[in-house]
Amino acid sequence: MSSRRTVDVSRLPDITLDSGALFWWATAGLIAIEAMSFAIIIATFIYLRMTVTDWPPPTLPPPDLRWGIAGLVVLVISCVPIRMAEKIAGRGRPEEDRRRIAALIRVFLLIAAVAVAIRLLEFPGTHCKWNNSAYGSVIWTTLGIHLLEALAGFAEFAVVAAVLVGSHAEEKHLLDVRACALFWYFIVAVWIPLFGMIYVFPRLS
Amino acid sequence: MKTSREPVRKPPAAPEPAPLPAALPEAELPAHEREELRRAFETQRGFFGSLKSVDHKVIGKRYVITALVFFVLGGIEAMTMRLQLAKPENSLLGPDLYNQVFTMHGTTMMFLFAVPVMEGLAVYFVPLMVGTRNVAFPKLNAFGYWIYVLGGAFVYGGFFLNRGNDTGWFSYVPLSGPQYAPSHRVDIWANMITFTEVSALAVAIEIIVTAFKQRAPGMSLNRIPLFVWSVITTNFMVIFAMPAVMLASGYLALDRLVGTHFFNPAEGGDPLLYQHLFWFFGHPEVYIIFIPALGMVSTILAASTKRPIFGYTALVLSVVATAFLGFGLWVHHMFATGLPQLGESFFTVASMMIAIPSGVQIFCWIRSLWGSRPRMTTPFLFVLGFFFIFIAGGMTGVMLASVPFNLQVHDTFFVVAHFHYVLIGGAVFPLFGALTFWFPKLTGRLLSETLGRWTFAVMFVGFNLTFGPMHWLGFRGMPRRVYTYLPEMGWGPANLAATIGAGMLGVGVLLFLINAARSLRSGEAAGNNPWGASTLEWATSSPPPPYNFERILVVSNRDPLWKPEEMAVVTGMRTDRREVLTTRPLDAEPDHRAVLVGPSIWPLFLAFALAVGLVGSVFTPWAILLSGFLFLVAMIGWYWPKGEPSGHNARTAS
Ligand code: HEM
Repeated sequence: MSSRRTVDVSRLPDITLDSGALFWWATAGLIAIEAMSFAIIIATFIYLRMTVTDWPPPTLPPPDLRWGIAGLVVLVISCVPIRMAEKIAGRGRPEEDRRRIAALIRVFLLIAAVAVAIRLLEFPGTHCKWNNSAYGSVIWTTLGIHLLEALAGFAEFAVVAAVLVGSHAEEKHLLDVRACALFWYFIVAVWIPLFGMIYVFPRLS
Repeated sequence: MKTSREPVRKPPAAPEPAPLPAALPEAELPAHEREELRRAFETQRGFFGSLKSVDHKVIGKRYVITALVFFVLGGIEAMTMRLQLAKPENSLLGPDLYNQVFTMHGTTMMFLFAVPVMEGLAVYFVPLMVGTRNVAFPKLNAFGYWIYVLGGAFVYGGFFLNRGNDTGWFSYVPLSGPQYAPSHRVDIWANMITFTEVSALAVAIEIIVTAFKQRAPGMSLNRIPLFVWSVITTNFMVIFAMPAVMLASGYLALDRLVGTHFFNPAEGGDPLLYQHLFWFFGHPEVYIIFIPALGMVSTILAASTKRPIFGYTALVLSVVATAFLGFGLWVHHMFATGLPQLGESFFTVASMMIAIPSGVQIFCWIRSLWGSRPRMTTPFLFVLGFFFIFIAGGMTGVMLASVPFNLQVHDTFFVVAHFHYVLIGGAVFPLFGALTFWFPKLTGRLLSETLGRWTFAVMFVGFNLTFGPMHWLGFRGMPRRVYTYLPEMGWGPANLAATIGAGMLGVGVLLFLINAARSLRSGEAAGNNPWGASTLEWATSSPPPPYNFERILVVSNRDPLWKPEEMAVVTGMRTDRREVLTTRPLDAEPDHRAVLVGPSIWPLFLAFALAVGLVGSVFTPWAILLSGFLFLVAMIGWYWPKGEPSGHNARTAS
């Protein structure tokens, strides 16, 4: 066989943990979709703010900042163990590292559970209901959709941690840790503008 | 190396290049490795096995066939409407049923036929055209198909139980709101939207990743086949457009089911918000339907003239420009809503700008045809039909972009005529051309040319006879969405003509189906490359084996099969597991060998889990909890390792 007409790839790696991995791209695509959805939610809010005279309804006190801030802080803290787990996963040594990574994820799961609990308190903290006014509808829907996203991220990590301590853990599960981490950072990052919309905006007008 | 920019006046009937196997013997594998590869990629046997299939060819074919079934259903609905309108004061359909039928027709054609059929062809052909073995996320692909079928079954189940939506395919509030549409008709429709959009988003991700990460080595960005470019563009549009309609229909469902007030002006909501969200999706939707068709046109043109398409770069850029502009147009569907004057002018300009990239494309195609002696095959005839009809539809489109004219014909049959010229001319004609063109690859058999020409002629005449008179009806003031009209209006003869035309169009589609059925039984064997085309899907057998290519090919130009002597092959891939070669997005340099997932029942289960939530929430919000639980089960099942090295099939070799 003349070598001019063949390209040998037998020495290429069969997994990569960086942004060249297919799964990494899938997560990026998912994030693009979610980002677009949240952008439209914010656009909904701004649009109604511009077209409706009483927005938020003038008699309504602004949402309770205490739980809002607590929730935001806990969400940001939850990124710390994830970041550590992700770094270790990047070394690509499943056998040595998998238990440590799983332990870090369990720490994360605890913190994230606190964040979810706080979110449940944020709903009554808005002083309104989804069916009182369109304002209430937008606020409750935003809190709710973001909560669902967070629960999905939580569940993903729970499953990954369980697989990592099981007997079938492989290198590709380290990639999953990184992809899940990417998604979680997005969930936390997108909460910052949403937090502004829900908690800061009503105090400005 | 020659590029497409050189003068293209060389003799059209270039000598046929040698078929690939002879020109490139290295492309073949030893028999035992081929057998191994087949075992690694094949779909398991039996009914249960077929439910687990993750082969992009199996799923792509399912998409296309299912979408064609919906096309026939939507066509039957269209025929019923046409029969009702054939003469004044007809009584075939009452007003309520007519409302349901036109809504089901529009919904079926847009959500269940046009988008999925293009997706299906992309799922089938993108991996073949870029020269890889499967899509990047095979299970996601299967899930997308299942959720689409379930959504279609759901909305038709409702229709047969007299719960077909009756508020039009865009279901404006307040008509579709809780006050004016109290039954479950709109709820079913609103949740069906979510099914189909989830499916489209799943396809979008996997097609984009496949096209960017799994191309054959050497297929740099400027060598990607034009059809693949058009599909990539479309799927980026899907990612940015579909969330808007999911939220629009989601808000609508919430307003109806749990009493939110997004669209209720009495409580601080706004009905126009719905229109903005819907058309922010709805206008790009039109391009999502017809940009893949542009890629089909270029593909068929190149194969028919046997020379590279003229202006590759200009064509790619104008497709991308169309996509961008497509997002700036949504307000032109709302000119009649009393928006600020300046805003309307802006959107008028944007709407007219779209003529620029469209013009560029038309000129590139004309230049590609110039001086060539194209083979007048059936696919080529459909392309010619596309030119004629689509340009006519584009003209009425430019007319509609002007606000005063728009207000005059708003909601008349002129609009119905316009969008059928654009949709059928722009998408259905190229689609039938492409189905004829690719039929041999899908089935291994050629369609009959004689019957094909008849199909085209009958469809072309029937189409113009149906929708031509509707322009005039619109000018004469006939509103759309009315179930009948009075004899004194003088609309009878034109309507009768349209109904006869619709009958012809139906006969045309029937001819196509007969042709397909006959050819499946006794058609002429196609061989690998019956059209002498240049792209990689023709480098493998028809139909392709489960693994698509024995060896991954290496390309060094845009039309690899026309210069087989410049091709090379990849060696060193494992054949005993589902391995694909990933390459870098820009220059397609080999990157790593990724291992794909195999057959699985979990995609179907996950689709059911989601369906439980979407169907159940029409009746009680608690269904969401059950759905969430099933979702979790599905996620675990989907992800849990099978306890065998990745990429191998569970069955032991027999
Ligand atoms: C096969 C031949 C077809 C015929 C004879 C036909 C006929 C019709 C007629 C008569 C109407 C208007 C009903 C009314 O306003 O009273 C209509 C509406 C519509 N058609 Fe078609 N159609 C055909 C194919 C298609 C295709 C292929 C598409 C899309 C890809 C499509 C999309 C629509 C849409 C979106 C509406 C608007 C529905 C609404 O008002 O809510 N049609 N069609």
